[in-house]
Amino acid sequence: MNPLDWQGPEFLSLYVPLLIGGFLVALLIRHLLRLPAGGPMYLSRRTDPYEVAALDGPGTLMEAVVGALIHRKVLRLEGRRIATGEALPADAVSVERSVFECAATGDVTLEVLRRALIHDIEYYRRRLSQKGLVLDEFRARPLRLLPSLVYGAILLLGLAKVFVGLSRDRPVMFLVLLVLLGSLGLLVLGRRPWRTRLGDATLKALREEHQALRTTAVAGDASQALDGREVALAVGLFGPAMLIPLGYSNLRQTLHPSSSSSSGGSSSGSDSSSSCSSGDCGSSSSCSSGGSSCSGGGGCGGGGGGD
Amino acid sequence: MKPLAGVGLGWRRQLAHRIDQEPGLGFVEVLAEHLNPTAPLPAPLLRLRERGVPLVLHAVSLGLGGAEPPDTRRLDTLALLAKRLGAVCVSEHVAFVRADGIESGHLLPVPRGDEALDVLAENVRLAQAALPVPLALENIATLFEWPAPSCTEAEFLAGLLSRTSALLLLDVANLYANALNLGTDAAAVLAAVPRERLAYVHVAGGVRHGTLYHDTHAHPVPMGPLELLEALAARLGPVPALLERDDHFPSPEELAAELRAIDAAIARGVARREAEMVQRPEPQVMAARGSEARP
Repeated sequence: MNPLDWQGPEFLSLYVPLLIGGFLVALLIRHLLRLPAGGPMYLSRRTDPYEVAALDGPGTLMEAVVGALIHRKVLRLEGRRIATGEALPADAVSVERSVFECAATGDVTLEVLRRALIHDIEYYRRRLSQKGLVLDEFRARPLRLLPSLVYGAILLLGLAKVFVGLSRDRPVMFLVLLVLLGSLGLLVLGRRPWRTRLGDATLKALREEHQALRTTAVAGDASQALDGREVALAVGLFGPAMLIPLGYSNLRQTLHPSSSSSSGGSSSGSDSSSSCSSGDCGSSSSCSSGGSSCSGGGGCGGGGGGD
Repeated sequence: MKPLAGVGLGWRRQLAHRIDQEPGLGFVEVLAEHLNPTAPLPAPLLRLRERGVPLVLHAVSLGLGGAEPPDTRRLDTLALLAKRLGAVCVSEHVAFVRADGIESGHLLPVPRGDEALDVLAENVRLAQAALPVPLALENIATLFEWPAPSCTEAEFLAGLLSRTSALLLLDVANLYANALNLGTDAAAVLAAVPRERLAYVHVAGGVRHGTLYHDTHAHPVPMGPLELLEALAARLGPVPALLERDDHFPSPEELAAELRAIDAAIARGVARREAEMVQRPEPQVMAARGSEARP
């Protein structure tokens, strides 16, 4: 009853469900290992917006800082270049200083910022890790390894059958394609997870807590109604795509020169959600606003009159 | 109706965050035409309702001043939204917005006369019967008047209040605009407002273009409406007042300053009232003092 001796169709009828099931089990292991879990951690309403942005991911943190500085006119857009504007306020935090210095010395893209802000990103990662919201390297390693080993063993079984089939001069094309396709799953499982399950729950709770900020940010024409801190928080909670309805779509194109047409979120490190969403990506767009549809009649009063 | 108090702010999506972050707001007004009656209420409004912030449903399209009775579907929608919001009252304008199926797109003035008052009073009664909460009627700003009005704005307002049981939403910005553009006697209107019928006051900004003042809701509130609010508070005592802002949304600091200015205008009016009461005690106080003095 050695499966490697089975006929091709018999083997495939076992192997296809095994490969799919194995991948799902590996994802489940990965999810379960993202510890600690539990209910959302309470963060005060005056929480640091950059810490929230870092909880979503390093890319979101960088865009939140740049967005907030542009909003405060400390940075400005010159065509497709980010330049310094007004003086950096005395109360600017370290990551703001780093971005300001980066803008003062050359072109700013996310890749440039990622190198320039390496210490700031590490600072926020460590802070969030101490709170149990983000995984440290020690915990992240087995989390990538263990599910990959489980899933890799199934891939190896398929690979072994390919060699057996080749040695017996049997057609193996379909199985080869299946193994190659299945190998893509290793890329998913090998990604470094960013948040813990506690971090997921906390970010989800923060997004729910700040639904009013999301409503305002996506309303359009609301940029001046928010201050720099609130712009950073909106980007941190609901993703860099928030910069578009806030009137900074050119900034997104400048930060992402290779994908200027892209408008979605970019850089979350989490398994369960991306920066483009509230809660689970795909279930809602960052540019929709609940039931708040605006339907005529808004301009009250008329002809110089009013209501 | 549970009386409103303090300073409120009109809910717009652009101000949803500001309103959510402002614990000191006395009440919030929501535009009915901005809500989809078949969709869930926006999460920030649900949150305000859960926090117990008094909500008022404000409508602009009922057309109570029209010759036709108010559309039952619009009334049903308003009633449904009022229930879902837990609104303390519904407010609408003393205006007409359509005739024979044609929408004006503006709030147009009602001719000031007995015939119009009769129609208006009947429409108000129909609306009140369909709504689950009290109805408040708002004076509008207009750039023109119908020819040969048979009464003043103050008399018209007093007549409307006497013919219906509706409450009054007094818009001091509209009053200010009409005073500048049409020469309306704003003081007479203020003097005609009974405190027990006043639901709340609207305050909004505007801008002068040439000889005309436009009540835009998109510019800072000038001193004129604040002075009228102060005069009203000097006559009636503390009144609930709400800032309307529909466009060119200001920075958080500017908005907070406008809310403080409204609060300060009411406080000045109340202080004036108290000072006048000290100088000229009310008759019942005099009578009480007189009886105390008698052996």
